[in-house]
Amino acid sequence: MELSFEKKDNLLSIRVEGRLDTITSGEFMAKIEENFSDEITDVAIDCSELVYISSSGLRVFMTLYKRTTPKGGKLILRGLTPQVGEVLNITGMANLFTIE
Amino acid sequence: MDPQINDYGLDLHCTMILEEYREFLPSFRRVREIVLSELQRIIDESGLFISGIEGRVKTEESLAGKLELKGSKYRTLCDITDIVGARVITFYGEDVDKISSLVDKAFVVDWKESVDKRKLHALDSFGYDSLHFICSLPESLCKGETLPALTSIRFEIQMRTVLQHAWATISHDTGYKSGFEIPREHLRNLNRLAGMLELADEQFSLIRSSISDYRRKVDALVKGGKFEEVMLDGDTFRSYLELNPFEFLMKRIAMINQAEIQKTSSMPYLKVLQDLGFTTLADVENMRTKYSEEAYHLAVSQLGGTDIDIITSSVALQDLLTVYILSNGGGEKGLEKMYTTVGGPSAYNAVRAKQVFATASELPFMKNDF
Repeated sequence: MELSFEKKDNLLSIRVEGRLDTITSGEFMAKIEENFSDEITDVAIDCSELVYISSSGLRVFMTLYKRTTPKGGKLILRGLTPQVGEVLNITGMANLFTIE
Repeated sequence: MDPQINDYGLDLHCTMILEEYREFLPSFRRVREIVLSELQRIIDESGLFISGIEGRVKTEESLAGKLELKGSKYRTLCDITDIVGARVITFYGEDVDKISSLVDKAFVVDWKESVDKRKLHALDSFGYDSLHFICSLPESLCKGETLPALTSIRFEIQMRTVLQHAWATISHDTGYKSGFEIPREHLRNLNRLAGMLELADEQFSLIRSSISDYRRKVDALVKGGKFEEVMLDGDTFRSYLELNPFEFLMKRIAMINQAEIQKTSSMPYLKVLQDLGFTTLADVENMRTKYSEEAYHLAVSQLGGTDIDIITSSVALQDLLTVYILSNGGGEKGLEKMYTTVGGPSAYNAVRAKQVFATASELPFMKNDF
């Protein structure tokens, strides 16, 4: 899994490549914590190179959703592949996140 | 004697009262702080939703003006009960009475001095005043305080509605009660306005009471299962969801992969239901009973081949609506519209609709109906 982060004003942009599974999700969350700060209200994840997401990855997405929405912010997912999109749909999460 | 006090041109008696005011000014300020803090506490604890609380210590200039006008009326500073004043502004008339009851419990009320100006008006006159209590602090609120005379300082608490407040502010600004003669035409208009505001206050209370009655009635109907009598709207759908109507289906879906259920709101689906022409809760209930089995099979076909063990609690309603839309000829477009209504516009909604339609097409309910 490859990750890159960019912070601008209240937006944290993340690019994730590869697989978000049981092994990599812990590292993913830890890196997010390192880059997260109080002023962040919105998180945008570029998923165009995310080829697989497991339940552990979905839990990270839910954590981010619960962290951003109380501040009036949102979790934005960009470039969803059909496989990842389908997982979000069948879990009911596709309606929670902002999908661009 | 402070030369500045002399500048007000008061007689010796009033000048002594003013000197006493200066001496006790720190105590007055502290009383104001304690009163405001205690008012905030008791109102927060009561859960009453009010417009605001405000308070002030009368300025030296204001007190000097009062003494100049009617200084002989006061023997000592203690006779002036509004040097410290607080005001609670409510939205509804009946809340003024609730606040007064709280104030009575929290402070020592001097009933001889307190007036309910709301009841003082003659039958043929308009007036629009508030409830005024003259109070002092109980010992319990002054423990550990070092300033003198805190429990013997009397203060005024006014309780009024926002409309009474508006009236009081405007009438004060126009000099309505100043003794200055206002032309009859203007006075009549002010009186008409007072009457109108009083009626408006009553109407607001009446409307709130009627809405509360309606909600209680609807709640009883929903809890009694009389869904056909309950129109579908935000309040009724929320009451319906409190009954957990989709819980059984939700748990069945969760059991497919022993999934954890993340609780999320199903309220965004209300608009979908209304767009589909559902008008009563019975329509929702009919959909639930008629399509639950097919919705479960849809979930099995989607989740069964995966190891996904986390789902949101709105999946049951999402799947029910998916089956309903497809069973009633809505097709991919119908699904896409639902996704847009619930989650907002996105190019991805069409992809989602296509995927779900393809999966559902393999299920018996689609093969039977199409």
